[in-house]
Amino acid sequence: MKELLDNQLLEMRRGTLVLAVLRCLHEPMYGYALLRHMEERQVPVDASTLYPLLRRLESQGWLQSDWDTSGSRPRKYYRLSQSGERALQQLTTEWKQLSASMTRLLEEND
Amino acid sequence: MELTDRYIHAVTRQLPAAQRDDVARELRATIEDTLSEGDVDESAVLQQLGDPSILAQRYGAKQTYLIGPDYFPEYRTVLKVLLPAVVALFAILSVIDGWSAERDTGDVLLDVLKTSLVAAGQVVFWTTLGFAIAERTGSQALAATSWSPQDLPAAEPARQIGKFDALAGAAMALFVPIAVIVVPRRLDRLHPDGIQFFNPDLSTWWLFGLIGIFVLFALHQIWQYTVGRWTTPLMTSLIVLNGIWLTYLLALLLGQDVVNPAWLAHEVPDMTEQVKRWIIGSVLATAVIITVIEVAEAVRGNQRLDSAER
Repeated sequence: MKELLDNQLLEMRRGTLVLAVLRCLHEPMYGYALLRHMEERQVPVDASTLYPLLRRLESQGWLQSDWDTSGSRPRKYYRLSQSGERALQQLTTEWKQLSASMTRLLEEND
Repeated sequence: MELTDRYIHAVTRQLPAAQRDDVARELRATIEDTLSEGDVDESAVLQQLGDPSILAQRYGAKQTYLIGPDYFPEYRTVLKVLLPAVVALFAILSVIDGWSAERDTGDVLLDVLKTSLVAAGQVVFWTTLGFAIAERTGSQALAATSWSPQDLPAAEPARQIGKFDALAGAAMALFVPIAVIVVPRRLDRLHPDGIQFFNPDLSTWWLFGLIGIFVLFALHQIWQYTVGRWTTPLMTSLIVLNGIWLTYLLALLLGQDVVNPAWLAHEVPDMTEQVKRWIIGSVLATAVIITVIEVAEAVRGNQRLDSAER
C-alpha cells in the first residue's frame, strides 16, 4: 500500500518536472545550482534524474547550453531557447487550467 | 577522487562516444560542487547518484537487454514449441541411426544425449538471434505504424488452423531435410560395394537450399500456430514460399541427375530412360498437387475470414 502510494506520488511529480525545470531556467543556471534552486523551492529532484533530463531537453531544442570555464570548475549553463520559451508559456497555461479544474473537482461537495 | 573517476567511467563508457566528454565534465563538476558544499564524503555522493548503469540509461545509453517486453511473449512461445519438438526429433533420429548401425546401447544413449544438447543449443541460439535482430530493427517499425480498430482480429473464427496440425506440419517440415540426409547415408553404409546413393557430382548448395527452404516451411508453420488463422501476410508468404520450393525442385530434378547413375545401374539395372522420366514427372506432379492444396486452403481461409469481417 505504502509502495503503491509512493509510486503514484512519483508519477505526479514526474509529470510536473519539465515545467518546473523550464520555469527555473528562465535565468541561465548550471546543473548543481538548479538542483539547489529547486530544492529551496520545495520541488526537490534527484541529480540522477535532473542531469539526463537537461540533456534530453537540450537535444529536443527547448534548452541551449554554454560551458563557462572561467571559474574554478567548468560549468555547463543551461538556458531556455526560443521554442523553450514558447513551451514554457503553453505548459504554464495548461497547468493553471489543470490545477483549477482539479481544485474544483477535489473541493466539490456531494 | 579515485572513486569519482571510476564512477564517471562506469557511466560514460555506456554512452555514445560523442556525448562522453561532455557528460563526464558535467558529472565531475556536480560531484565536486556537492563535496565542497557540505560535510558529505565521496562515496555518499556517488551513492546518491545511484547505479551507474541506470544513470547511463537515463542519459539514453543503448539498450542493455537482448529481447525486450515487445517480443518476449513471442520469443517464449516459439522456444516452448520448437525446443521440445526439435530435440525429440533429433533424439529419435539418433536412436534410429544408432540401432540400425548395431551399436552398443551405451554409445547410442551417449549419442542421443549429445545430439539433443547440440540441437537444443542450435534452437536456442537461432531463435534468440532472430528475435534480437527483430528487437533492434523491428520495434521502431512496430511503434511507428499507427494502430486502428480495423487491426483487431476477428472474434468469431478464433482458430482456423489447428494447433496440432500446425505443429505436426512444423515437425514434418524439419523431418524432410533430416530424412534426406540420414536415409541415404544409411543406405550408403549398408551398400556392399560402397556406391553412394546421391550423385557425388551434385553441388552441396542443393542440400543447403533444401535445408533452408524447409526451415522456412517449419518457421511458417510456427507462425501459423501463433496466429491461428489465415491472414493476408500468412497467405502471401506461403504462396511465395511454395513458389520458391517448386522452382527449386524443378531446377534440381530437370537440371541434373540427383541419384547416382552408378547406384541406379547397380541396383536397378533394367531401368529405362522412360521410367526415369516417369518417376521425375510423378514427383513433380505430387509436389504441385500438394502445393495447390495448401495454397487453396490458405486462400479460402483468408477469404472466409474477410467475408466474416464484413
